[in-house]
Amino acid sequence: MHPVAGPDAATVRWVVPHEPYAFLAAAAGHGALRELVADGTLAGVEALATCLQTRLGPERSWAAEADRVRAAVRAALEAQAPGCASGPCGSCPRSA
Amino acid sequence: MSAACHDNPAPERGVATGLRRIALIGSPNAGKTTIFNQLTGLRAHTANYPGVTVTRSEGMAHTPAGRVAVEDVPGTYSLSAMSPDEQVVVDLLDGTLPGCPTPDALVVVLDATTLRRSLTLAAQAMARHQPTLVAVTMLDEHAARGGRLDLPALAEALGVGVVGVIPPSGEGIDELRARLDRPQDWAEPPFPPPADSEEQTAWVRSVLAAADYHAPRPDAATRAVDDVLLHPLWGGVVFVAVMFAFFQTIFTVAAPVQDTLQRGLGWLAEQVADHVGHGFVGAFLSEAVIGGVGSVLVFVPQVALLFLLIALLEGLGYMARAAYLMDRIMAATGLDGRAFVAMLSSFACAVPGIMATRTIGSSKTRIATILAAPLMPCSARLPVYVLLVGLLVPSGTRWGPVQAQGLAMFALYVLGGLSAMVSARVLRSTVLRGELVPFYLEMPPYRMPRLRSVLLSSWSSVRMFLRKAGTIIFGTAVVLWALLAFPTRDAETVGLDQAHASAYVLEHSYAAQLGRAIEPVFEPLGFDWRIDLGLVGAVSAREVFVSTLGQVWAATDPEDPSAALAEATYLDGPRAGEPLFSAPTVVALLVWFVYALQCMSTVAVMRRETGSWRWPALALTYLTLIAYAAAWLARLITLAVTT
Repeated sequence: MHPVAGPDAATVRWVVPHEPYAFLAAAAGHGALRELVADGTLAGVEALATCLQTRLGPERSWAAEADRVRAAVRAALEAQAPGCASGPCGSCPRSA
Repeated sequence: MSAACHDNPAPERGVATGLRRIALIGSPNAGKTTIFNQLTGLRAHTANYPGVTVTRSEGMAHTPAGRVAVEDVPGTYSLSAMSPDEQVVVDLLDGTLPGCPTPDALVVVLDATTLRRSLTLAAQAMARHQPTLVAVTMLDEHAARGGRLDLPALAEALGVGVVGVIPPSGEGIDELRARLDRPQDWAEPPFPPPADSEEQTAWVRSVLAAADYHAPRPDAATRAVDDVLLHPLWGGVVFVAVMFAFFQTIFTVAAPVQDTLQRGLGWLAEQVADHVGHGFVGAFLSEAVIGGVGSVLVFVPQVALLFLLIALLEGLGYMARAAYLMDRIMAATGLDGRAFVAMLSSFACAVPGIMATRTIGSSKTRIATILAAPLMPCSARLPVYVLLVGLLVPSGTRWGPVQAQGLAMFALYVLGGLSAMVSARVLRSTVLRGELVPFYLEMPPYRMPRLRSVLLSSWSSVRMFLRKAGTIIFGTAVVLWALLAFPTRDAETVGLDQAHASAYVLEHSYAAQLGRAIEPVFEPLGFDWRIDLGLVGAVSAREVFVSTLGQVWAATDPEDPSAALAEATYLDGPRAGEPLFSAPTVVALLVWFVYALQCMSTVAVMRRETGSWRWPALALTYLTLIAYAAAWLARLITLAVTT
């Protein structure tokens, strides 16, 4: 996975090289991400067509929170599609 | 060891002040220096193997809005330095390179054919929180081998600007140049890529997938050729054949041009004699300028051909293969294939060869290579070898298709190379004992070198040779001329003809007194005071030996110094009247020049690269002692064989 800028500075989209993307909806509700929303780090998490969109909470900065958010997104994706957020993935059609 | 900004005295490599500074970083052999040359109009050395750039260079790039300073640095696979050349990159980015401010922005040059590996470096560069732009090279080669890459998608995935560049043709350079103006406006990712290696790998995979990256097929032609050239047996056979053909070509092709130059100098000497006369000015022109500097310049065809052939082999990608082949042999000497790359660079000149050792991570291996590198036959030895081989082997001698002079030259180069390896073995077993670090070297695909690059590279080296002829050699020639011409002996030479008067002045000159003072030292080697003068002069640069002999014999016989040199005899002592340049003496001289460290530039660069006088002093001592002992032994053996 890799982050790309969203429509505003608070929003980052996590692009996943894995098809089909049906698992993204389940990943958006993963416990690790819910915790970040609960403690105010994230204002919200949304599953889009090909990525997860994370919006930063108020008074937070990506410089300070990027690593925590990355770890949570990774855990969420790994739980739904093991091996595709990191490491080799033989079954993914878009894996290079 | 330091790699400060003022390391290299070339004017274009100083530090520009008041300008925006942009550093080009990237993996070895990604095409950084070619981009640097295209942007700045400079001619930094490029070749088709990793590790060509070992120092920092700076130039000015003219952009639509003005000028920016562009810095080219050695190639590196990561920003965790493993060798001195990679440390230059890290120091520059950290702002700890003496006298060099931190660059204002980075252009990361990525080779499209090796993008998966190169993105790790891009991730590390992006983590430095400086404006970053990516230039992707080798797109043509990537596409030709079936690779695929969507540049806009790559830019989106990375979060930074991406420009496609094909450096040799200049495609994409204008776009890159235009973007250099406003780094503050360059796109930035929301945050840097992860630092953890596992997460970084995931990031790279994801970015490549988003950019629809498909790695190119292995180059079929490269693979087929490498089946032979990297074969343990056939690769070695081809290597020896290539080197053998190398020297045959130098002698066969350059000889007619050299003869023409020689005749031109003879004609010039006649014009001086006819129109200027044999007075003070005439003697200076015919002896110092024509006899001294001219006698070195006649070897320009050989030197130019040497550089041309080296540039061709470098451009083709053969040098990396030679290093790979030699790795096993080098391991026996306690060095590795990377040391061989440095030694191959010494073929042109020991100075860049010693600087090329910056790619070697282990300090003991590096110092052993530095101490052995001066034994590799450099271009400064070429005029000396050609002159002496010409005195030893009659021109036109052939054994079948093999040119005998070329064979003798090949033997001298083999002797130099073998001696360098033996010397390294001894050093690595004694004062520089240590473990051998594993060797890795990326094999570039074979590429057809561009004629312009080859010619520019050769011309750049020839120009340095000519500059040396116009400075060090000319300066030494002027000093020697004064020593040969004074004191004047007008009263004693009254009534003598020109030839006898010249000989009388020469034998009673200050130069003769100096030569005779050191004659006993070299007498066991068969050298008389005139040869000794050449050896003393050659301490500044080896080519001065040729110019000194040229001057001495121009003073002896201004009409035909070449013939006088070939027919020279001992003037006095027990060998009086015997031929001076007999086989034993010439062989001893050749062996002397194989080993002696007669190059002050090499000593100076050794001091700089090792950070101490200890190692150059050791090199000077051991190489002088070996040169003397080997020359004496070679003379004895040749005497035994020829009498």
